[in-house]
Amino acid sequence: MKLEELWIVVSKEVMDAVRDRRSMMAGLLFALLGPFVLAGVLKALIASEVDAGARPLHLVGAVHAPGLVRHLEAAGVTLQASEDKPDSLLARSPGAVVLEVPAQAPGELAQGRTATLALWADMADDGARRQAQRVQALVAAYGAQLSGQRLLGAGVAPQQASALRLELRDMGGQGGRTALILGALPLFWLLGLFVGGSHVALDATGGERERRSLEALLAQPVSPGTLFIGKWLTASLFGYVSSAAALLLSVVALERLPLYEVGIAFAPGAALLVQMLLVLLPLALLVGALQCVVALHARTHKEGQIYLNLLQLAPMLLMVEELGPASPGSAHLLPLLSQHAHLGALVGGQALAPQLVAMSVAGCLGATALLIAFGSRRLGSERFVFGL
Amino acid sequence: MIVVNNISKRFQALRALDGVSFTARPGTISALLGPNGAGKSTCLRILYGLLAPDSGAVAIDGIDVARAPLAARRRLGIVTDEFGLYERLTPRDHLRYFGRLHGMRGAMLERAIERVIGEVGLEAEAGRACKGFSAGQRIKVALARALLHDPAVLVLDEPTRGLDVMSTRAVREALMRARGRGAAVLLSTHVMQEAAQLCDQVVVLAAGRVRFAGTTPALLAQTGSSGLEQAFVEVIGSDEGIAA
Repeated sequence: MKLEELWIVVSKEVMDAVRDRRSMMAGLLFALLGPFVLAGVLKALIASEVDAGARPLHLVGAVHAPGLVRHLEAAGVTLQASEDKPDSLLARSPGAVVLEVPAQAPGELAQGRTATLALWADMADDGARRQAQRVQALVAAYGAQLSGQRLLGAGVAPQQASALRLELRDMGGQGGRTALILGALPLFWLLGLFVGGSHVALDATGGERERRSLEALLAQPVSPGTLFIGKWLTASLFGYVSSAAALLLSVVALERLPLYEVGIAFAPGAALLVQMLLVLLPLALLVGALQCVVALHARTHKEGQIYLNLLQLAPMLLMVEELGPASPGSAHLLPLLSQHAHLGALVGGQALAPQLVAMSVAGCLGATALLIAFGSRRLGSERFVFGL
Repeated sequence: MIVVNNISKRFQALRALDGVSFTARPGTISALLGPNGAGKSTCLRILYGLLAPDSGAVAIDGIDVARAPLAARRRLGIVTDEFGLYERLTPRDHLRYFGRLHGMRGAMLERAIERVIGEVGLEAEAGRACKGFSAGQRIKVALARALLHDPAVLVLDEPTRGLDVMSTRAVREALMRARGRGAAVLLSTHVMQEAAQLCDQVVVLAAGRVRFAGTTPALLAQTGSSGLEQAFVEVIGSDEGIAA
């Protein structure tokens, strides 16, 4: 009987919440907006990062340096030969990088002197600066090659003339910022848990008090515990659906982005998606319980909204504090932090440690059970219901 | 049948009920009559088990409310002091929800829903969301909800408060029909005329105590008054004199 009663309460609350179209759509929209915005930012970022690699280098006086041309092309630089003056070229296409080989360079080289090349670039422009730095490094390497040949000619081993060599290993590299933004994805899914069920929790608990329907409901042959659990399940369900929608939308949106162009693989298969959804589930139950308990204490809709909005700031905590590989296992008892770490690991293609997952589930369900016991007691307390 | 046996209830310093006893028999309508703050709502809330008495007991059809509140509520039809409706649900949705909470299902539930909709005269609004319903339409939904499972005991907290004449009449007719079916009906009111016209028994409550319980002719006879209003003032006033 108890389960059937629960179903009666849940189906009524779901019907009521679904008919509140505007609130439901607003909740969903907010949850889905995050991944959308993120996908947009990523798209622009990928375009700029890919662009930085593919943009041509304008070469003025290419005929004077066939060796350099070969060297640059071998390194994957797209060259565009030009006979214009560098400053007029830059005026025509701002952000371009121009390498100028003066006519006297071959002569200087032949005489064993230093040939001076010029690199024209707007170093305040991100893309131009990165390209210029790359060209600088390539030209320096080519210069070192030429010096080495000269030394060999003079009977000196090139390494004797270069005691130190510094290699830059660019860890940011291409797609560095893209990876950083991809890491923010789980935050949006977690936010969905808080946003999607908030209006349902409020309407089903504090709302009952405000519209003065609570007394009549409690006077029915159903225990306060059953009522509270029914309301909690409904709120959790809406939060979970919203979060799952954000997750699936992220995947769909990201699949359409050319992430591979910046060297990132993000195409979770069904198994990975299921794992992510399972990680979110216990937290959905906890967030629903927390929202119901908090909203139950609100006397008016407005008051409850303020409390629940404050609660929605909880995921922001993750920007300050997060669990890493160095965190102790018991830290995974902490809800939210643990799920965030697990989702991050899954996005990064790592496997989850079963004992940490167990901790994380235990932490959530334990806290949920306490909140439900508390909420049910409150709903059964005459002092609370009648504000005595 | 409602048997209220010597119940007392205190809210901090306030003694809301002080040894209240009365009985409401099947096939009768009883009025719990008293001025505002007399303890009527407290008494009814104890009756349907939302408040626990400090002492004494209430039995609904022989079931102790404090011991088995859910079993007692299954026999009760209740119109509470406040009966806010779910604005997005229709009267039919309301009835289906509360009927199912009372254990009603399927065709039996649907038949009962149509019956009470007819009884309270909600046919025109039954499929419309309750948002924007008038006070009269709202009380009809609450009343239909209370009558749905054909309860042995019907308890109503000031059901005609704020209603127009037509709605008041509809409520009264529904209560008389319930009495005709053999239900024990108890309503609280502070309107003497209502008590006199409708009720077989009047329980006068003032400052948490029963000042009189019996028929209105008996009330008139006991006080030696010709008018009900005078009798009412007499019953409450004389006791207040004693208390002072």
